[in-house]
Amino acid sequence: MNGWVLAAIVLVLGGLLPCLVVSLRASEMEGLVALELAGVISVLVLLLLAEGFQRQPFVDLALVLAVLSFVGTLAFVRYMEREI
Amino acid sequence: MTVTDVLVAVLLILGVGIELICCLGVFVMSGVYDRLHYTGPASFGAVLIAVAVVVREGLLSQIGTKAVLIALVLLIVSPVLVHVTARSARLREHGELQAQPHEVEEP
Repeated sequence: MNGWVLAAIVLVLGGLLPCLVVSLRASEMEGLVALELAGVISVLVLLLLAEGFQRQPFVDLALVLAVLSFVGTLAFVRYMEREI
Repeated sequence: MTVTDVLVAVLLILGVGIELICCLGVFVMSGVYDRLHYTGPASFGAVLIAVAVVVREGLLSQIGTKAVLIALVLLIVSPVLVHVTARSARLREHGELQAQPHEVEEP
């Protein structure tokens, strides 16, 4: 296991887990904030794994996720504006 | 261990450290607006990690170019997301964006 994979594991355990806890326990808007941060962390984990395992084409996944998580959050935000 | 290795390790540790601090902030704070403050700096951690990849692989490699692209996307998108989320939270709270009567300072 090299440094890149280790960094990815640290990010998953120390980054994604707190976001998951906040999403589950806090209010809806606070969960949305945690989702935004989880999107950034996931992009970085994919980037680190692509570098760590020397599979350079897989970095496309990170790039696509970066764009799609933005669009997804915008859609969420649009529907969260009003109480349904 | 070459200078490049040390530089990559430092950038990686700094980048991951910033991300962990952001996550800790979101986890510890309470309230939408307090938590939102910690989502912004996450893109700077992403920039550091992308720079680490570029230092290791070179700017013109496949992963180097795309790492720069990812860092750029996150840098541009992050402030927009923070803004729309704060706006949406405000709308959800009060139903309008105007200042509420108790928020207006008496002259």
